[in-house]
Amino acid sequence: MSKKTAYYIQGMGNISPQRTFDNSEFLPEISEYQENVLMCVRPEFKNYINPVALRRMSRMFKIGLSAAKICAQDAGMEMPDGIITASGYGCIGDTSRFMLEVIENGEKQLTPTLFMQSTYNSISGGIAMAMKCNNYNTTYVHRGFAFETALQDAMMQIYDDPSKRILLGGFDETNDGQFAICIRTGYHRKDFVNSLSLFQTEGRGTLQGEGASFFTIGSEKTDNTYCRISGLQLLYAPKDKSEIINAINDVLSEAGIDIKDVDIVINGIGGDTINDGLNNQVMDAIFADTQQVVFKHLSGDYCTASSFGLWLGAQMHRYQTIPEIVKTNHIHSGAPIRNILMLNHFRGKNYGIVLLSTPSDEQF
Amino acid sequence: MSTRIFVTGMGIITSIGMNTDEHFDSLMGLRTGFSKIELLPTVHRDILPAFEIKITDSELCRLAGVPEGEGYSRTALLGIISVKEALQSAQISDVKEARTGLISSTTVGGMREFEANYKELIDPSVEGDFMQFAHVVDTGEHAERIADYFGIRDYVNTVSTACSSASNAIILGAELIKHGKLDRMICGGSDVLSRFTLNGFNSLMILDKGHNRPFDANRSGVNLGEGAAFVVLESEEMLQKYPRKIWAELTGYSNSNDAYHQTASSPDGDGALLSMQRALDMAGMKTSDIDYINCHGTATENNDLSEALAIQNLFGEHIPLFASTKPYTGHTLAAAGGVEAIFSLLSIDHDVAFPNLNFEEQMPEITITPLKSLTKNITITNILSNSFGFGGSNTSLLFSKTKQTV
Repeated sequence: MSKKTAYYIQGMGNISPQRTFDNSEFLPEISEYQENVLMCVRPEFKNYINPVALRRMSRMFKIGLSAAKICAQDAGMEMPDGIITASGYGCIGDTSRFMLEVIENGEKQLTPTLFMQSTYNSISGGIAMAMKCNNYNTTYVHRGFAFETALQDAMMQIYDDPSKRILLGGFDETNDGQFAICIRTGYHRKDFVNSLSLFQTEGRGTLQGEGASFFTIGSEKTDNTYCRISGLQLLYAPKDKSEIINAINDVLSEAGIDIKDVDIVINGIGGDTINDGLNNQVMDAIFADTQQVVFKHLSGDYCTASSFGLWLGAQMHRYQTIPEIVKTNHIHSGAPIRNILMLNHFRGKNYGIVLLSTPSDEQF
Repeated sequence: MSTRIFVTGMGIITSIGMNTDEHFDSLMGLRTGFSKIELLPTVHRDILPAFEIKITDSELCRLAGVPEGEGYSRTALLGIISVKEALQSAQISDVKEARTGLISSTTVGGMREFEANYKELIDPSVEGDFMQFAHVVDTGEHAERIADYFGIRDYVNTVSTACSSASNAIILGAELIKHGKLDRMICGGSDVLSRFTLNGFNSLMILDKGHNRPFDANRSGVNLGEGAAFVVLESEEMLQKYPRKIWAELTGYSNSNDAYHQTASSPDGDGALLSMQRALDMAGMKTSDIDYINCHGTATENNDLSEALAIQNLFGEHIPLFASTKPYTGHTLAAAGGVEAIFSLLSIDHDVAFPNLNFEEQMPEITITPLKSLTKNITITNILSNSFGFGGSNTSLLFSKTKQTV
């Protein structure tokens, strides 16, 4: 693997519990949530989806397809060479409704549309239909790895053929049933907490969030390029912080930089004192002198929340600014933002490391 | 990238066998798993047949070597049993010997247990054993159970592209090895009968109340099955380091999309044709190089017509033997690509072509006919295995005979 290929984020589309769907602004207003569930601030769907089709679509489908459309438009891409989606729960709203019909109607009088849209690849297929795209199309559904494995697949596709541009995205939606169950098992907070105070309020469990964040990735640096993805690594059930630190060092050395070159570290903690443990230990051990930011008080936590984190990193690159609302310390001097490292975790078991670097050629 | 990918092991459990040998015997003996539903509690028991594995969850726990009551879904149990066989078959006793990853696939994960316990799970006023199944509906849950059981930590992932899922897991596994990320990949899928899935297909009115008849003029839909199937993929370098039996080489694969309809295939078969064509292109092969196609052949009106048209249009003068093995196992959904990859490997290994059972009457729209009887005394060098799914997903795998050692 000596060949060098660059992977640029050429376009984005992000629908989240914050106002993020318009790429010409960067967190212009902040929404706060009081009941431990964060739901999307939605754009006008009819700007992206034809009204006849819109009527048949579930909420998740509309959000996912609109985010994909925003992303492709942002990148000026009409035909992707591949569509890769990632989701922990897919269209869980439709899945739950169909399951409840089965349970409550004695397996009679069911709505087939719910079943059809419950399929995990229904959105990747829907995007293909909307864009008339016959190319590579797949969907990864592994908990906190879904988005990172999708990103890794996109990078492999581009490595093999640098002329390719891949549309990839993570999506998940909130769901009452999952919320109730995750409160019982301790994955979600039991007591209400103001979302913006999440990290000031110690406790077990995180907030339930949702969103759809799509990215156009290609090897060409376009006029609309946000940043370069210069490293990616996944870690399954690391035993201690040193395993994570070793992986971070591998990512950094692969990119030819040191820890001191990391301008910002995005800490993908969710507000759970136990499950956040390793992330926080890593921050203390190697990033004590680095500007740290967090994001799950804005997006909530969900399997593919790291896709929101990636959007945040890319926007910080483009705008060369760090919103106050995400800072957990005040170390950044105002020097150019060149390297941003994200360490995400899901339930303390799935860890993902992504390095985002300046698109300028000098380092590459 | 010139890395070659070889299959060094396989493991499978479906309604026609507990392991690879039993499957070969059933395929040769034309024995099918078609039956009345006995274990899944459903109101459709007496009306909708299925290809059910007649082994209770308790017995599966015993076979998998895990305790009862600790939340192993049937999906995870079938997965553990088949991965155990796959590792033995590849003579891997220590997954730490090389960088080893697992890619499973599923359409609904542990939905069977989740739907059975959902009312209790969401009611905080009741406590009980059901809490073990709180998170089984996460599609990745079963994969982590399998990975944790075998101590696999280098890579774990789950694919879900409906009925092409396991084939896409195999493609991703091959890519990860080619890109030098991992040395060995265990790839496949696991799906079990659930009320959710049975009723889903029933609501779409595509379930046959009799035994499915792929490519027959009078075909009337799918029978659902359950099962898990995994193959072990390794690079040439790994085989040089640890020489073992090679079942076949994965010489080509492709994934494309119909972009036509949410659940139906394009009627002209364009998507299926593109899928097979691209797999041939990757292998640098001509249509005349293909000896046999293990078709998707679900026996729906729509799939079989479009797949047959695609074969007819692509292969023209050189129509290879082709058959669907769904009448043996039913449609095992996400696992189907793994199940049928293994049937393809058995065909290559034994030089035998398994027939398309239940075929009687020629489809009027096409001129080609599936293989009607078990065919021995032929040489099977290259096989295409097709898996198509909802969402317009079309995947083809191409396996080729290889010498016993690299």
